[in-house]
Amino acid sequence: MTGYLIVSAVLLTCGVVCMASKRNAVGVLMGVELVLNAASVNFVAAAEFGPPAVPVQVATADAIGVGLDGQIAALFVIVLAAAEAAVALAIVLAFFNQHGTADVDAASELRG
Amino acid sequence: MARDWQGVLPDLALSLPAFAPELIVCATIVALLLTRLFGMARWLPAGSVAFGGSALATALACLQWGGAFESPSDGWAGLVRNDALTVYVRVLCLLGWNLTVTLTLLTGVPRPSIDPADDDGPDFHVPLAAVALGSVLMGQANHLLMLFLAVEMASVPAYVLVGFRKGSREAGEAALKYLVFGAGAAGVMMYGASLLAGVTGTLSLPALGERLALIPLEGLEWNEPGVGGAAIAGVVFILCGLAFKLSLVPFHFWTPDAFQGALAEVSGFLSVAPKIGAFALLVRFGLSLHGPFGETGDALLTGLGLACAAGAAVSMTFGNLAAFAQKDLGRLLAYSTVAQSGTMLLGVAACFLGVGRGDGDLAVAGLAGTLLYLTAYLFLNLGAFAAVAIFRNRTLRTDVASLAGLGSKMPWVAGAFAVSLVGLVGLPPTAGFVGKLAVFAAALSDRVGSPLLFAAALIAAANTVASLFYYFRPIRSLYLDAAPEGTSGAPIGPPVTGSERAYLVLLAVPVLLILPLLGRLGALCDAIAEAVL
Repeated sequence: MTGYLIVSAVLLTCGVVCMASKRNAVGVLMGVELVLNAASVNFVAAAEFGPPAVPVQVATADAIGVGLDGQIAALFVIVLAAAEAAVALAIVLAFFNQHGTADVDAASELRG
Repeated sequence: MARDWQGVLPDLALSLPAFAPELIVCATIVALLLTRLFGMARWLPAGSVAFGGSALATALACLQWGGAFESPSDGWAGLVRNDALTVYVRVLCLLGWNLTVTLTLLTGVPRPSIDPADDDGPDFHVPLAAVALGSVLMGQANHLLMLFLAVEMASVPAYVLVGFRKGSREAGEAALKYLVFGAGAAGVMMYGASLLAGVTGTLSLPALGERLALIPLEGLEWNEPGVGGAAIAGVVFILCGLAFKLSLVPFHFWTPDAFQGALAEVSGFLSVAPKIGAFALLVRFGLSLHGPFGETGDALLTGLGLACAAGAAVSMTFGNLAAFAQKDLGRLLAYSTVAQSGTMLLGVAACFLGVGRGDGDLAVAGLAGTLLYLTAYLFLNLGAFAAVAIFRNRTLRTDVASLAGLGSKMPWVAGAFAVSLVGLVGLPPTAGFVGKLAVFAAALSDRVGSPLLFAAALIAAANTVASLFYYFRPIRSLYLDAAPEGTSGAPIGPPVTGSERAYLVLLAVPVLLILPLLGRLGALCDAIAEAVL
């Protein structure tokens, strides 16, 4: 479990760094995808190697892993990431059409 | 893995009736898409379908009033919780949706384009309904997966709504900013949920507290070092995601841009329904950390309460300070919602502190105060944004200066706007006063004494006075400033219609006449809070 947690933490860090440093909106969205994949890794790892889903009082020694809940959650993350990417790319495209760039720093015309 | 299929039918029989309003919303979305597909839009406009669906869903939600109080239950194998809070949030969100649909019918947005083949107007109602569905689901999520799904359901269509004005530079920029922040917050929240699931072994909120309480115990097979830290990180990440939805400082950056770029009707809806749902979700998530085992849960919840109190103070102060300099009405009201969120969070902080310390009265008073405030806020904010939308249709502008001299030209709209703003300040006898009073009373009634909560309540009182200045700026513009030279004359555009007036009055009546109903409403909020705690 620890190994998987480390992998996912590295993925999370890469994703956050990518979100913070990329100026292109598509790059930022790729960072978001990395973060979501980090969550997926965690879920799948928890499904196999995490603490058991049954209450601790009745857990047997070999009961381990969240089980189906974790795997289903990973599937949902994938589906949601796809849905979000579709909306996101449409919005980036609309922004590009109006501003001639997909640079997030160009989005600075709205000011108070 | 063998599953017990015996329980499926009884679970369905229990879940389906309770879920009827949500199913109506889903059916409305499908109907909206189908009418567009089969070209029925000519004789069955999308607005009418959306209005019918929202009215039906709201009515059904109201009918469920009694049952959930008497017999709260879990639905869909524990994914959702059906109790008094669920029903209350459901009624408020669906009512907000219905009122928004009505407003779009009155103000005629989004405008039909000249070429019917190019007209995206009817599609406007699909994301609107989806946001309503997400908000309602947020109020009943009882599972980490459901929590994430509900938040995304309310967020993703909201990006589309904000960017709906085709070809508008402002809308495109607003949608992009909202999207970038929102997607980041959702990713971080999902990661938090996965951490919690990984260290506790459950995704179900009611089981979460019990498992968290076990973490400090050594000698469990899977209890590796650092698990406690991972659990706390998970909780913090999820709270970040919720704070984003609530537009609390420091996760508020999207709010002013999104609300300035979006249509006023959309901003009004986005400032109300998802916020009500997110507060219910915050309360449910916070309370789930409080397991039956006492100490760990108590400590965690007390810490959470203190964090909420601090966040409330910062949000209020920052929101109010930033609102002073705003010239655009959408932006001004956006910073006002940041500040209002802070005030509501004060009630939640009192609730968490009360539960963490075992002070039941404080917990009930805090939660009931927040619920009462949210009810008032629904009418206040929808009213304010509706007035902005109606002004915009006449002046084609949304800045404060464009209101100059409109007080005498459009007395009904101006009056309704003024009532909403006075209510948002929290002056008697409006609903805003009642809500603020309930929250402040709860925060100050903390007898055992948590200096931070007390200080936050005092800061909130000071903020209320300070907020007078910027809330009264549009009112001064309406009534005291003369219309600018050259444009003096009738406002541009058609006169205000009777139905627009009726709509504004409909929103202003609950704001003004809340005092006689206060006893019943307060008792209702208390009952809901007691049922949840």
